[in-house]
Amino acid sequence: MRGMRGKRSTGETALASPAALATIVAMTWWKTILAQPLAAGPRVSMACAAALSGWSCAALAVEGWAVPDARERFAVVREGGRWPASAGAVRLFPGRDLATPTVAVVADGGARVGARLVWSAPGEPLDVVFDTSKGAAAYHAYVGEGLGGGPPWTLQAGIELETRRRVESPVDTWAQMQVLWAHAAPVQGRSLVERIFDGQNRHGPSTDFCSHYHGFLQIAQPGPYLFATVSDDASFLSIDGRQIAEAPGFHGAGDGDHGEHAGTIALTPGLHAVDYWHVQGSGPTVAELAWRLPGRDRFEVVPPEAFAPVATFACRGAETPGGGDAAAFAWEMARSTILDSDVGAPALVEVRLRLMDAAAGARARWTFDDGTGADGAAVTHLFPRLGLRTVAVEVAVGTTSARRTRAIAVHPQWLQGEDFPEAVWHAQRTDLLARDPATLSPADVAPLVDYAERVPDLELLRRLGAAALPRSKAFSGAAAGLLLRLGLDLQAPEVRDYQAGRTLLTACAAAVEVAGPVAARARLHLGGLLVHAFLDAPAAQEQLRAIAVDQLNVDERRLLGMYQGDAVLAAGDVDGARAHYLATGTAAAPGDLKYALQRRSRIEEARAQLAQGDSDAAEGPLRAIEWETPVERLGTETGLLLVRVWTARQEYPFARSRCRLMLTAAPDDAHRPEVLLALAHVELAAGRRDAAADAVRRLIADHPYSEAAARAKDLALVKAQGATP
Amino acid sequence: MISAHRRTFAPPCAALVAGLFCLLGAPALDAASENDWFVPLGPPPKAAPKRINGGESLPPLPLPATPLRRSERKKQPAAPKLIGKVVWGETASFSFDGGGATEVSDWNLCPADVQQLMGKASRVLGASYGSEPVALANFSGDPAQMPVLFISGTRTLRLSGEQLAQLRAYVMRGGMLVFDSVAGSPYFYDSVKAAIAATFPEDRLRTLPADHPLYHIAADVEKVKFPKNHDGDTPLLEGVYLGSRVAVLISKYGLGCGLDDREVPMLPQAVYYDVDSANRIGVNIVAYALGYAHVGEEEAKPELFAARDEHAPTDEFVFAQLVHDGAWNVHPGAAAALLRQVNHDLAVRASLKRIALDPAKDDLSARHFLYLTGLDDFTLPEAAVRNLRRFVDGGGTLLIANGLGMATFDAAVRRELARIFPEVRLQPVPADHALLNTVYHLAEVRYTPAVLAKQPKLTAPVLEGIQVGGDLRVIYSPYDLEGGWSGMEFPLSRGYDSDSALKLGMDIVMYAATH
Repeated sequence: MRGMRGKRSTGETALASPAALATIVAMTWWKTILAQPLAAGPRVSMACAAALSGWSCAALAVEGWAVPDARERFAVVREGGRWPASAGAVRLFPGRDLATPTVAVVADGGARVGARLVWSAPGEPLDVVFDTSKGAAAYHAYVGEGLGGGPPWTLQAGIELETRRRVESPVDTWAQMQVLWAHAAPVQGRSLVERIFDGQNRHGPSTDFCSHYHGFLQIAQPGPYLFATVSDDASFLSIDGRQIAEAPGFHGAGDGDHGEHAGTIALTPGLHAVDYWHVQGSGPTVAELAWRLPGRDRFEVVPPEAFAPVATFACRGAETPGGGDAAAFAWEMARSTILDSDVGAPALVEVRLRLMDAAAGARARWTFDDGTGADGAAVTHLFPRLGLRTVAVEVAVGTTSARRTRAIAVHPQWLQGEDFPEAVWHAQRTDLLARDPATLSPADVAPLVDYAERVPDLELLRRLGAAALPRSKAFSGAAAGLLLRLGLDLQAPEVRDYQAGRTLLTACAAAVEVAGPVAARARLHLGGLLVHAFLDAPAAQEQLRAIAVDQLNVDERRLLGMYQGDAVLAAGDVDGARAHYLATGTAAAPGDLKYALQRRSRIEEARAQLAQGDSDAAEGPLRAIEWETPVERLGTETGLLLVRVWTARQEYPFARSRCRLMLTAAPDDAHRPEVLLALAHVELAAGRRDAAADAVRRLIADHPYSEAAARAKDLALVKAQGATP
Repeated sequence: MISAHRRTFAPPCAALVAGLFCLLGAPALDAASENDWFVPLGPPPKAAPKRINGGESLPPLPLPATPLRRSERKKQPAAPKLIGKVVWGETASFSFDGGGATEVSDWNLCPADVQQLMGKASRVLGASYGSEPVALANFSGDPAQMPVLFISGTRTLRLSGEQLAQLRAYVMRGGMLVFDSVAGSPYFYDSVKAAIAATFPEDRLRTLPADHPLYHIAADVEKVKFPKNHDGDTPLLEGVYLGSRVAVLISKYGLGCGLDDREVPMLPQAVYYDVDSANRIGVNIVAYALGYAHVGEEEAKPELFAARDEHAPTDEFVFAQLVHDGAWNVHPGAAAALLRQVNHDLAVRASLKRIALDPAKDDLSARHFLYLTGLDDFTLPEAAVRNLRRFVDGGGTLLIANGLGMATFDAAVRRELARIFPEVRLQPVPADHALLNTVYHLAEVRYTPAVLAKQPKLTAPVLEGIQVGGDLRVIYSPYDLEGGWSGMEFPLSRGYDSDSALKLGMDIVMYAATH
């Protein structure tokens, strides 16, 4: 265990023995309690309760605890930045979130200095700025609630940036910008930056946000200064409260990169407040403050040195009133892959965690709330879901151990230069595939499925689906929708696990209320699957009949009509199928020549795509035709081409079922021989040589003089097996 | 105002120097006048816009790095190529008097014509297609890969015999050739006609009738405008039919610049369609090429028969088709589809081998059934008129079907029948006639969209006939039958749908075999 470093304000003698230390500390703590006025009683009780629920419940074991109400303190030492500086900045990693955290900073000499929080949010570290004008290089930062009493102090150095989610509002004038800023919410974050030169949002997605930079220029040479703003989209600059330059409205940065949006101000030596507002819609973002110094001929980005300095400090360790905390840890978002820069879009984030003070020989075991763990003083963990995640670490040193559990906010690494680095994704994918998906909670599976669908990564989806199968009952209620998605995902051309899809859809339909929309959708897609992959008309009709139609949206109702037609057709009722298709509706009247032309164009497009070997591209136009005119499913033109698509993608059950449906629908169609030939090809490709031979025999027997029969005779299959009657 | 110019010839395109150029039917015009047509057809290139601001001489401010967004991983499918613009002829450097220079190439005088056309057509057709230049030396000749070849120019088209043979093979496989005399130049137009005559000697170049699908398939093109040098207001497209489709198309007047939405300012003598007219025609050509691409592919296939049909047909029903001077072979292979169905469903033993007869020369006496179809005008020789009258009077049945249901053929049929049967006229076949009740009771039939567009409530079969000796001996269908037999779609064809056409066909065959 680590004791206090540096001077002890109490002047008491340090103890060598931990046992003796505990005794003395206990005495000291009780003396402290007894020294409190009566009114302090509730504070003591609260501290005990807090200790019981998270912090060590040991007696006050550290010396020099200068802020009695504080729950935790950190040694803070200067790490970098320009020095001397009037202010310092440090990031603290408390052991738990406080409802209204406050901070007190005490210089090594014992004097409390002005300080304030820059940013705090649940699950996030605390960013603190404090007064360093007295020149001390080491401090203690205390964290607690209601730690008032510090000297008044205002930060007058560096640049503090705050970003907020943009609201829809014009930004053509200063007044409009102020209105927008006032209504923009929520606040996404605050931080200190070195200069106004950003190409991304430091605290959130880089679209639809607005920023306010508030900083202090430190001017040495008096004279007229020409400032320019370069931005994408709007920006407004004021200095010492005077409006200097503006680039209003939504636009690119290119129209201002020669200093077109500029204004002059005469500055005297000393500090000058800079306020720079920036508003970003969609597309690239730029916020840039440039100046042209007196006597210079060109603009340059205002450099960090032009602003009053803020020194950076490091947080070296954590102590509670009960003593040093060997399990205290720090964390940061290491790298991430983001599929979409919108808020709420799925992302995979790796978080780097490290013990703040790893003693020699310490063994750390990390446990994460996604069912995994890791060993080591510093680890990096991939979280499959964003939000507040619980991390526990147990640190053993010799025979003693310490444990800390806290929630951390997992969010994308916003400052990453690339949203979706392929190499990172490959590493993350390897990590995920190596995990046992059965240990994932339904809450973690959902965003992972979302992510895998959007990448897309069908192997990952297949693994997730396989993991969900044996515990489908765990996905009840709202989570049942996940079974529906996985059930559909497993039918994807690259997966083709129709049996698993059927099982998941069946489980989904059973897992939720009969009248619910998820159940209705599950039955709808199950009905379709039963026809198109299994050609099981009775089972399909049963599912489709059980659907609560009022739970389906317009498109789903249309699909239901089509599937009902398919199921009836699979049962051999051509007229019934036609009635269903016609009742579903058609996009065009029989004499609609424009539609007839578009239909023909799409078919030719599909044929051309097939000729190019792009079966995926061929599918779209064909699906569009059948969607708009379901009765086309009784014909063979779209059907034969779709059979080619499915055969090329090895979706043999779909291809086989469609051939069977076409043979049922059009017994006298001039293309019937073509359907039989297509069926033979499907069966041959699927490795079902006997079925292929049957199709060929039927073709040659029923249509001996057809072109298809002539071509079938050339099939090696026919020659080898003598399929010719 | 740019009026003078200087042209310097560059070496001919490498792709075209292979082989010996031959000038096919080039008009006897001097090279100097022909070269007057070899100028840029668009305005001179615009100078690059200058940046106007005080800081232009200084480098721009650096911009911060913006994060790279995730590119969409799923590749966008490449738009299939519909039109290949054929590279031919020479390239020259052209200097404008007002400054600036550009290159002119015989094949590419309107560089953006096809590209622009594809964009417009894709919007109309709801499907995405592309185009690319094609050098014949590297061309696969496969219509499935490139359904249309587009050749434009103003000077004499110079293609080698080998290249013309290549183009013929391409057309016979289902491809379509489109020639655009891009400024209405007589040099290009005449040389193309000569080349077509040499390449397709068995087929005549025909002026497309006003009701041809090419004038209506996407937009009605009944009236057009010419900005200069032409007072008319009717379009002129000529073509060579192969089966039911126009396999070779010529536009005598310029299309390309209109497709690129511009005039032809540098050729005072140019004749071309205005922008609106050119675009309507152009989109129609694309739509037609798309609509008939599968037709070309199917009709290019040889008709297949079983071995026994390779001998002289001896079955009780033989499908004998009359040759005439019009486009007589409208739907190759369609009759076989009907006959297969006849053999499959009826007791009539029908030969699958269609035979072609010249009614003026061949002996018709052994025939019981004759079939005549066409797309446009035709005229029977006197001998044919006599022979056909004799055939009908002898108890034979003559079936006439209007291929694609076009007005020109309809008029020709009525005129020629009046010559054969001056005493009678075609009469409607009533719904209760035996003809419509032999195999199927056809009180109702289905028509193609082009028929329904004009007559949405039409469901009764429309047949006309001439009775001889109490039986229908001449049966005329003003609507296309054969197209329906083939099971294919012929856009804008006025005919019966496949099911109805087959049923009508079987009723007719059975009637002819039993009456």
